[in-house]
Amino acid sequence: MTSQNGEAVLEIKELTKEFGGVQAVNALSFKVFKNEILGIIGPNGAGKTTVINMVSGFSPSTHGNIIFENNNITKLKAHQIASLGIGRNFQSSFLFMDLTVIENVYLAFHLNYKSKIWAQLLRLPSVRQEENELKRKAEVILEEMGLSSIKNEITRNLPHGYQRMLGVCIALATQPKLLLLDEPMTGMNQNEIQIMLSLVKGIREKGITIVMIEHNMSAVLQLCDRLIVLNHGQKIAEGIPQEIISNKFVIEAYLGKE
Amino acid sequence: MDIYGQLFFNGLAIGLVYVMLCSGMVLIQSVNQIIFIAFGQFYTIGAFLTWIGVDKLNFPYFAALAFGVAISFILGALTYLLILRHIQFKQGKFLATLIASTGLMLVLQQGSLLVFGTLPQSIPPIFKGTLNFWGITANIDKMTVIAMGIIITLFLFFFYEKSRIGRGMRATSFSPEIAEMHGINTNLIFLVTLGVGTAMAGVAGGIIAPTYGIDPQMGASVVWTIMAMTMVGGPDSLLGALAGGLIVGQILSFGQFYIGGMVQVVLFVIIAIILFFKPNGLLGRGIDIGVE
Amino acid sequence: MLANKLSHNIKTISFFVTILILAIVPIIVKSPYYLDLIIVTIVYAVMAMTFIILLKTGLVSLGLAVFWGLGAYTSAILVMKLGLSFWIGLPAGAIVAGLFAFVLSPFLLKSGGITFLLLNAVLGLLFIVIIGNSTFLGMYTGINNIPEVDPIKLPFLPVIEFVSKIPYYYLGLILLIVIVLVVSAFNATKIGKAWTAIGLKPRLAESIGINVYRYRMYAFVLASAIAGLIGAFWAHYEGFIQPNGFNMWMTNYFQLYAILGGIGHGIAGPLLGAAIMKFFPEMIRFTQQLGNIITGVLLILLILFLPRGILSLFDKKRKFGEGFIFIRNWAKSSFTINRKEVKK
Repeated sequence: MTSQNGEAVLEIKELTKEFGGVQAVNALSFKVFKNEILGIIGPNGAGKTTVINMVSGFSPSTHGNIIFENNNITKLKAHQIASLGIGRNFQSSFLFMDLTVIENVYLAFHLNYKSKIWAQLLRLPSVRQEENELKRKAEVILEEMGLSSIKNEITRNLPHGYQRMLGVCIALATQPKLLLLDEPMTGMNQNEIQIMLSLVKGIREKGITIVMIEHNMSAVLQLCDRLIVLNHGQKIAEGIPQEIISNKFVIEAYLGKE
Repeated sequence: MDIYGQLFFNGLAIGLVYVMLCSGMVLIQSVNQIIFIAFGQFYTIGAFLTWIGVDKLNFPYFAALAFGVAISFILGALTYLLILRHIQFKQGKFLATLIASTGLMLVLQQGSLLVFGTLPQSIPPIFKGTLNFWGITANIDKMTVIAMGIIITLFLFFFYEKSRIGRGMRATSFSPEIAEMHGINTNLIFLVTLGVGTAMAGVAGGIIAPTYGIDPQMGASVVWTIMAMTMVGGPDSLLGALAGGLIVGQILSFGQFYIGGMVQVVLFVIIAIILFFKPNGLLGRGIDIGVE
Repeated sequence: MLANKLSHNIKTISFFVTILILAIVPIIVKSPYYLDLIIVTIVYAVMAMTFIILLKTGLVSLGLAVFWGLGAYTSAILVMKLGLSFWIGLPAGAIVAGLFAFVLSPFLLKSGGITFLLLNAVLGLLFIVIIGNSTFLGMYTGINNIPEVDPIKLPFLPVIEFVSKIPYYYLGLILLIVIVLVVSAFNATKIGKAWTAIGLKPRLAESIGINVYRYRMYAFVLASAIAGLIGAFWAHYEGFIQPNGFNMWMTNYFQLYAILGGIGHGIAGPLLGAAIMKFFPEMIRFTQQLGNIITGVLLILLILFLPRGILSLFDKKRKFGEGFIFIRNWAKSSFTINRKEVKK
């Protein structure tokens, strides 16, 4: 199910992150092709989340370039990158805990709120119309993710699995072209993992390109078109899943860490 | 008379007082990870307590100084036990600490006015006389300030680097969770750090009292400079406190001479500019006080 | 936010009821002394509200009084030195204060919360020193004999002259209403929603495309403009201003009113907090000195035991008294020095 039609949505060139003398990411280069699901795997501490942080603008890179749809986004701020069409979730439950589920998603439609400020201040009917429209869109996303039943629950009270799913919903609400997922299945039980698997497939079907960090090997094998393996901040392998799992460097990297 | 040398010498005295103050502040900031704006009050209290010791209790100066330091330490420890410890892990700890510190600052400021009176005081200089060398007229008094400042600062740095508690402090400032895992009683460390920090302020007040006098507003007027300088030097960097304190001393000394009262304004403008370009300070790693 | 139409309506109704009551007061209470107390309470409540506007976006300002002072001095200068009418001075105060905030935003906001706090405090000191050293601005003794508000001449109505307290009272009340309406309007817009997001988790807000710096700037400018507006009113009401009347202690008091009354209940919290602090000492005649200590002790007690203010006791979401952290727990945990879990 590969969809490499040669068009690179995201290109990472010699990306490096260095701090305190440690090279968290070392001259990393790879491409992400349109509508593919690219997996980034590797032992803990290999620098995977750091890469996502740099691409999404949450961590400045030391060297290298990040090109998104022919724009050099290396030096852009997080909110600018989000508005260009890159969405992401976070590793731990990073949500607006005191708000309800639907309020979380609704807020994430912020970028799509088009009414002018004057209209908003005066609370014109057109504004109310747009707000209802966005509310509806939020409900649609929740429905697709299977979270409709809990839409009015306070996020803090949700079980961990649902919180992770909500995190993905929030990223989706920004209408991204590229979705960065950081360990979306960590901490989930088997049921929840199944749900997340079909959800990720569903997201790809909408034409969104996905880059996914994940430790769950079965999920990785089921979902990803290609894999990149990182160890100590460097790319040690790249290719289709079948090749990667028999790659001796990869096996060494994982076993060596035990 | 060599004016530059003179100003430098005076600046050294003032600078070392700031070094002690900034060090105490940095300690609290990096270990307890809080912004403690009531800090300045302990400077005032230490000075007044030393005065009480000398003037009312007829202690010899160094005993009075010890007295002032001890009480400053105890007050700091109490502050931690009764107030700060309850708010430092909760959500919104920045605001909570700030409000509590503000409240404490008000109480201590007004309290010391009530207890010690509203008038400035002074302590007779311990050693009288001056020395003349290198074209400078050096008050022995100021030299004592410099000497004591150096001794105390060295003692603190040594304590922080070498002693068991100091190691606990360093571990806790790096990560309280990891420190706990290594068997360090972080609660005790927080307690001691706050006490040591406020004690540094107290000793600075006591040391400066004979030479520069005691003023009820001294803490309030100096706390913002301390905060600003520790930000500039790096909120968790003792080296930054050292450099920053000495630099402030020189700026104030030369600035006071050449441009008078406006030196404060100039100093703050410089600080604002530095912070604009380097919000985490020039040295150090920056601290996480729970706000972005 | 979205849901809870009921709580929103309760807020609106209680606001109107409060305004109604306040509007009727001068008919019943004739004593200028009490009218003055209410006017001052209103002014302080507005200032406490500016603290809350900033707090909502994660900013704590120790320099609120500066913008209050900017408005006051702007209006006083315009009226006294340029002979303009108060009705020019009033908006001018808001505009100058807002402009200052706008210009200072890059310096104060870009580097994050601690720097904001610190530089605002520094700003407060600079404000006093600069004005204190300026003869044009009246130096430390300040400006006296600020003229009263110019009379309002409306068609078909008798001229409203600002001689007694009553016209000032209603003017203050009208300003309060306008300010609350403006703030509510902003809260309902995209900007208000961004403020909510930023206040809860700034990094998450960034990830959904919110420019945290820009929205914080909006909050800062709005809060400062409001402070300037009420400052202009203040200058002409009090009749004299001096730099030390706009120092950090005042800002601390405003913080106290906000925390005491409670955050998240619109203007009710600040009004309650300011009213308590204004009326309580008046009834017991505290001296200035004790006033400061009481404020300090109150702040500490509040933050330890009732961090969400008095109104939190009546919050729908919690049972009565849940916001009140019990003294027994505090005492128990204060005096143990043992290993404890370190949590965030």
